[in-house]
Amino acid sequence: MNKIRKAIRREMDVEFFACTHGVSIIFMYGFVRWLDHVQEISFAMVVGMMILGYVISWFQKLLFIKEGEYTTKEYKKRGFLWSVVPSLLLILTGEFFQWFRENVWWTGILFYGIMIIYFFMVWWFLELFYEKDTEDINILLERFKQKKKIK
Amino acid sequence: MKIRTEQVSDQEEEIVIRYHVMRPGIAEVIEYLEGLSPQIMGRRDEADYLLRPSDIYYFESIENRTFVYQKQDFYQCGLSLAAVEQKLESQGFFRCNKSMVVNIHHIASLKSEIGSRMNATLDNGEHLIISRRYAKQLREILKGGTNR
Repeated sequence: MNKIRKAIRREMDVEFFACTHGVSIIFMYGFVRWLDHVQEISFAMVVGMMILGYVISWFQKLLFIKEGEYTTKEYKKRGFLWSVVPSLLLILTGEFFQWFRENVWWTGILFYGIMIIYFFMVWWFLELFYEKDTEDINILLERFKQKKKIK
Repeated sequence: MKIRTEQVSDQEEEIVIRYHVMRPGIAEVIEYLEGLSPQIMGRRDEADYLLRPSDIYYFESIENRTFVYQKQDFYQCGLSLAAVEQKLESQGFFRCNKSMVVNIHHIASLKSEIGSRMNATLDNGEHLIISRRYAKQLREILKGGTNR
Protein backbone atom coordinates (compact mmCIF):
# COMPACT_ATOMS: atom_id res chain seq x y z
CA MET A 1 0.00 0.00 0.00
CA ASN A 2 2.84 2.32 0.93
CA LYS A 3 4.57 1.60 -2.38
CA ILE A 4 1.42 2.37 -4.33
CA ARG A 5 0.96 5.64 -2.43
CA LYS A 6 4.57 6.55 -3.14
CA ALA A 7 4.17 5.74 -6.84
CA ILE A 8 1.01 7.85 -7.07
CA ARG A 9 2.73 10.79 -5.38
CA ARG A 10 5.68 10.44 -7.77
CA GLU A 11 3.35 10.33 -10.76
CA MET A 12 1.56 13.45 -9.51
CA ASP A 13 4.87 15.31 -9.28
CA VAL A 14 5.80 14.23 -12.78
CA GLU A 15 2.44 15.21 -14.21
CA PHE A 16 2.57 18.64 -12.62
CA PHE A 17 5.83 19.42 -14.38
CA ALA A 18 4.70 17.57 -17.53
CA CYS A 19 1.74 19.97 -17.79
CA THR A 20 3.93 23.01 -17.08
CA HIS A 21 6.47 22.00 -19.72
CA GLY A 22 3.84 20.84 -22.23
CA VAL A 23 1.80 24.02 -21.99
CA SER A 24 4.92 26.20 -22.15
CA ILE A 25 6.17 24.41 -25.29
CA ILE A 26 2.76 24.62 -26.99
CA PHE A 27 2.25 28.27 -26.06
CA MET A 28 5.71 29.36 -27.17
CA TYR A 29 5.50 27.37 -30.40
CA GLY A 30 2.10 28.91 -31.16
CA PHE A 31 3.39 32.38 -30.32
CA VAL A 32 6.48 32.09 -32.53
CA ARG A 33 4.39 30.73 -35.41
CA TRP A 34 1.90 33.55 -34.90
CA LEU A 35 4.77 36.05 -35.20
CA ASP A 36 5.45 34.44 -38.57
CA HIS A 37 1.74 34.84 -39.49
CA VAL A 38 0.97 31.10 -39.29
CA GLN A 39 -2.27 30.66 -37.37
CA GLU A 40 -2.97 26.91 -37.23
CA ILE A 41 -1.17 24.07 -35.45
CA SER A 42 -2.11 20.43 -35.99
CA PHE A 43 -3.61 18.36 -33.15
CA ALA A 44 -0.93 15.68 -33.63
CA MET A 45 1.73 18.31 -33.02
CA VAL A 46 0.03 19.49 -29.80
CA VAL A 47 -0.25 15.89 -28.53
CA GLY A 48 3.40 15.30 -29.46
CA MET A 49 4.44 18.34 -27.44
CA MET A 50 2.45 17.17 -24.41
CA ILE A 51 4.14 13.75 -24.64
CA LEU A 52 7.51 15.46 -24.90
CA GLY A 53 6.69 17.46 -21.74
CA TYR A 54 5.88 14.19 -19.97
CA VAL A 55 9.12 12.53 -21.10
CA ILE A 56 11.14 15.57 -20.01
CA SER A 57 9.38 15.61 -16.64
CA TRP A 58 10.14 11.93 -16.03
CA PHE A 59 13.76 12.47 -16.96
CA GLN A 60 13.96 15.34 -14.46
CA LYS A 61 12.31 13.21 -11.78
CA LEU A 62 14.73 10.33 -12.39
CA LEU A 63 17.67 12.66 -11.84
CA PHE A 64 16.60 13.10 -8.20
CA ILE A 65 14.96 9.74 -7.58
CA LYS A 66 17.64 8.56 -5.13
CA GLU A 67 16.47 8.97 -1.53
CA GLY A 68 19.97 9.24 -0.12
CA GLU A 69 22.16 12.26 0.24
CA TYR A 70 23.62 14.14 -2.76
CA THR A 71 27.03 15.73 -2.51
CA THR A 72 27.19 19.40 -3.57
CA LYS A 73 29.05 18.41 -6.73
CA GLU A 74 26.54 15.69 -7.55
CA TYR A 75 23.61 18.04 -6.88
CA LYS A 76 25.05 20.74 -9.14
CA LYS A 77 25.75 18.21 -11.89
CA ARG A 78 22.19 16.91 -11.74
CA GLY A 79 20.86 20.46 -11.64
CA PHE A 80 22.82 21.25 -14.80
CA LEU A 81 21.49 18.13 -16.56
CA TRP A 82 17.97 19.05 -15.35
CA SER A 83 18.05 22.04 -17.72
CA VAL A 84 20.45 20.95 -20.47
CA VAL A 85 19.04 17.52 -21.40
CA PRO A 86 15.42 18.79 -21.79
CA SER A 87 16.71 21.59 -24.04
CA LEU A 88 18.55 19.03 -26.19
CA LEU A 89 15.52 16.70 -26.24
CA LEU A 90 13.35 19.59 -27.39
CA ILE A 91 15.72 20.58 -30.20
CA LEU A 92 16.14 16.96 -31.35
CA THR A 93 12.38 16.34 -31.35
CA GLY A 94 11.68 19.62 -33.11
CA GLU A 95 14.25 18.93 -35.79
CA PHE A 96 13.18 15.31 -36.19
CA PHE A 97 9.53 16.24 -36.73
CA GLN A 98 10.48 19.40 -38.63
CA TRP A 99 8.34 21.74 -36.57
CA PHE A 100 9.57 24.79 -38.49
CA ARG A 101 9.68 23.50 -42.05
CA GLU A 102 6.94 25.95 -43.13
CA ASN A 103 8.40 28.93 -41.29
CA VAL A 104 11.16 31.45 -41.85
CA TRP A 105 14.62 30.54 -40.50
CA TRP A 106 14.55 32.71 -37.36
CA THR A 107 11.41 31.18 -35.86
CA GLY A 108 13.16 27.95 -34.88
CA ILE A 109 16.11 29.79 -33.38
CA LEU A 110 13.80 32.11 -31.42
CA PHE A 111 11.69 29.19 -30.14
CA TYR A 112 14.63 27.03 -29.08
CA GLY A 113 16.39 30.03 -27.51
CA ILE A 114 13.36 30.96 -25.40
CA MET A 115 12.76 27.35 -24.35
CA ILE A 116 16.40 26.88 -23.28
CA ILE A 117 16.07 30.03 -21.14
CA TYR A 118 12.77 28.63 -19.80
CA PHE A 119 14.32 25.36 -18.57
CA PHE A 120 17.20 27.17 -16.86
CA MET A 121 14.76 29.66 -15.32
CA VAL A 122 12.49 26.94 -13.90
CA TRP A 123 15.53 25.36 -12.22
CA TRP A 124 16.60 28.77 -10.90
CA PHE A 125 13.11 29.43 -9.49
CA LEU A 126 13.10 26.02 -7.83
CA GLU A 127 16.46 26.81 -6.24
CA LEU A 128 15.09 30.15 -4.99
CA PHE A 129 12.02 28.42 -3.58
CA TYR A 130 14.05 25.80 -1.70
CA GLU A 131 16.47 28.48 -0.46
CA LYS A 132 13.60 30.47 1.06
CA ASP A 133 12.05 27.30 2.47
CA THR A 134 15.40 26.38 4.05
CA GLU A 135 15.54 29.80 5.72
CA ASP A 136 11.99 29.45 7.07
CA ILE A 137 12.47 25.92 8.37
CA ASN A 138 15.71 26.86 10.15
CA ILE A 139 13.95 29.76 11.87
CA LEU A 140 11.29 27.29 13.07
CA LEU A 141 14.01 24.89 14.24
CA GLU A 142 15.74 27.60 16.28
CA ARG A 143 12.44 28.72 17.80
CA PHE A 144 11.62 25.12 18.73
CA LYS A 145 14.98 24.69 20.47
CA GLN A 146 14.68 28.02 22.29
CA LYS A 147 11.16 27.20 23.46
CA LYS A 148 12.35 23.87 24.88
CA LYS A 149 15.27 25.58 26.67
CA ILE A 150 12.92 28.09 28.32
CA LYS A 151 10.57 25.30 29.41
CA MET B 1 20.06 17.94 56.09
CA LYS B 2 17.83 20.87 55.22
CA ILE B 3 15.11 20.41 52.56
CA ARG B 4 13.99 23.57 50.80
CA THR B 5 11.28 23.77 48.12
CA GLU B 6 10.42 26.80 46.07
CA GLN B 7 7.52 27.34 43.68
CA VAL B 8 8.44 29.00 40.38
CA SER B 9 6.02 30.24 37.77
CA ASP B 10 7.76 30.38 34.39
CA GLN B 11 11.31 29.15 35.08
CA GLU B 12 12.58 25.67 34.33
CA GLU B 13 11.88 23.18 37.12
CA GLU B 14 15.12 21.97 38.68
CA ILE B 15 16.41 20.00 41.62
CA VAL B 16 19.77 21.02 43.09
CA ILE B 17 21.53 18.71 45.53
CA ARG B 18 24.37 20.23 47.56
CA TYR B 19 26.65 17.79 49.31
CA HIS B 20 30.07 17.60 50.96
CA VAL B 21 30.73 13.93 50.22
CA MET B 22 28.68 11.61 48.00
CA ARG B 23 26.98 9.27 50.49
CA PRO B 24 24.92 6.19 49.53
CA GLY B 25 21.69 7.95 50.59
CA ILE B 26 22.34 10.90 48.31
CA ALA B 27 23.35 8.59 45.48
CA GLU B 28 20.05 6.73 45.93
CA VAL B 29 18.08 10.00 45.70
CA ILE B 30 19.94 10.92 42.50
CA GLU B 31 19.31 7.47 41.10
CA TYR B 32 15.62 7.77 41.90
CA LEU B 33 15.36 11.21 40.30
CA GLU B 34 17.16 10.04 37.19
CA GLY B 35 14.68 7.22 36.96
CA LEU B 36 11.88 9.76 36.55
CA SER B 37 13.04 10.73 33.06
CA PRO B 38 13.18 8.00 30.42
CA GLN B 39 16.53 6.42 29.83
CA ILE B 40 17.74 4.04 27.20
CA MET B 41 19.75 0.94 27.76
CA GLY B 42 22.56 0.53 25.24
CA ARG B 43 24.87 -2.45 24.84
CA ARG B 44 28.44 -2.37 23.62
CA ASP B 45 31.34 -4.82 24.02
CA GLU B 46 29.27 -7.12 26.26
CA ALA B 47 28.52 -4.28 28.70
CA ASP B 48 25.28 -2.38 29.30
CA TYR B 49 25.15 1.38 29.54
CA LEU B 50 22.35 3.66 30.68
CA LEU B 51 22.08 6.45 28.12
CA ARG B 52 20.50 9.85 28.66
CA PRO B 53 18.16 10.85 25.81
CA SER B 54 19.79 14.28 25.60
CA ASP B 55 23.11 12.60 24.69
CA ILE B 56 21.55 10.53 21.92
CA TYR B 57 21.75 11.88 18.37
CA TYR B 58 19.68 9.28 16.58
CA PHE B 59 18.49 5.67 16.44
CA GLU B 60 18.91 3.56 13.34
CA SER B 61 17.36 0.24 12.46
CA ILE B 62 19.60 -2.06 10.43
CA GLU B 63 18.40 -5.56 9.61
CA ASN B 64 15.89 -5.61 12.47
CA ARG B 65 18.45 -4.42 14.99
CA THR B 66 18.32 -0.96 16.54
CA PHE B 67 21.47 1.06 17.09
CA VAL B 68 21.83 4.18 19.23
CA TYR B 69 24.25 6.87 18.11
CA GLN B 70 25.81 9.44 20.36
CA LYS B 71 28.26 12.14 19.27
CA GLN B 72 30.98 9.57 18.67
CA ASP B 73 29.92 6.24 20.18
CA PHE B 74 27.23 3.84 19.19
CA TYR B 75 25.41 1.06 21.04
CA GLN B 76 22.92 -1.64 20.28
CA CYS B 77 19.49 -1.18 21.78
CA GLY B 78 16.78 -3.73 22.51
CA LEU B 79 13.88 -1.46 21.57
CA SER B 80 12.22 -1.26 18.18
CA LEU B 81 12.11 2.09 16.38
CA ALA B 82 8.37 2.34 17.01
CA ALA B 83 8.94 1.82 20.76
CA VAL B 84 11.74 4.40 20.78
CA GLU B 85 9.53 6.86 18.95
CA GLN B 86 6.76 6.40 21.50
CA LYS B 87 9.03 6.49 24.53
CA LEU B 88 11.04 9.54 23.54
CA GLU B 89 8.46 11.59 21.68
CA SER B 90 8.25 14.10 24.52
CA GLN B 91 12.04 14.46 24.53
CA GLY B 92 12.13 15.87 20.99
CA PHE B 93 12.72 12.64 19.07
CA PHE B 94 10.92 12.02 15.81
CA ARG B 95 10.93 9.51 12.95
CA CYS B 96 12.85 11.13 10.08
CA ASN B 97 12.68 8.23 7.62
CA LYS B 98 11.78 4.56 7.49
CA SER B 99 14.83 3.47 9.46
CA MET B 100 15.75 6.39 11.73
CA VAL B 101 14.53 8.35 14.74
CA VAL B 102 16.42 11.58 15.33
CA ASN B 103 16.78 13.97 18.26
CA ILE B 104 15.64 17.39 17.00
CA HIS B 105 17.81 19.11 19.62
CA HIS B 106 20.93 17.80 17.88
CA ILE B 107 19.91 19.06 14.44
CA ALA B 108 22.18 22.00 13.68
CA SER B 109 20.49 22.98 10.41
CA LEU B 110 18.01 21.80 7.83
CA LYS B 111 18.13 22.12 4.07
CA SER B 112 15.01 21.89 1.97
CA GLU B 113 15.69 19.88 -1.18
CA ILE B 114 14.00 19.02 -4.45
CA GLY B 115 11.25 16.43 -3.98
CA SER B 116 10.06 18.05 -0.71
CA ARG B 117 12.59 16.19 1.39
CA MET B 118 15.11 17.65 3.81
CA ASN B 119 18.76 17.22 4.54
CA ALA B 120 19.47 17.53 8.26
CA THR B 121 22.97 18.38 9.46
CA LEU B 122 23.56 17.26 13.03
CA ASP B 123 25.83 19.17 15.37
CA ASN B 124 28.48 16.44 15.01
CA GLY B 125 28.57 17.09 11.26
CA GLU B 126 26.61 14.01 10.18
CA HIS B 127 23.90 14.32 7.53
CA LEU B 128 20.52 12.59 7.62
CA ILE B 129 17.82 12.58 4.99
CA ILE B 130 14.32 13.38 6.15
CA SER B 131 11.97 11.84 3.61
CA ARG B 132 9.06 13.75 2.13
CA ARG B 133 6.46 12.03 4.32
CA TYR B 134 8.30 12.77 7.54
CA ALA B 135 9.42 16.26 6.44
CA LYS B 136 5.79 17.28 6.55
CA GLN B 137 5.49 15.93 10.10
CA LEU B 138 8.66 17.74 11.14
CA ARG B 139 7.20 21.04 9.97
CA GLU B 140 4.14 20.39 12.13
CA ILE B 141 6.31 19.56 15.15
CA LEU B 142 8.45 22.67 14.70
CA LYS B 143 5.36 24.83 14.34
CA GLY B 144 4.15 23.36 17.61
CA GLY B 145 1.28 21.52 15.95
CA THR B 146 1.81 18.33 17.90
CA ASN B 147 2.00 17.81 21.62
CA ARG B 148 5.76 17.65 22.18
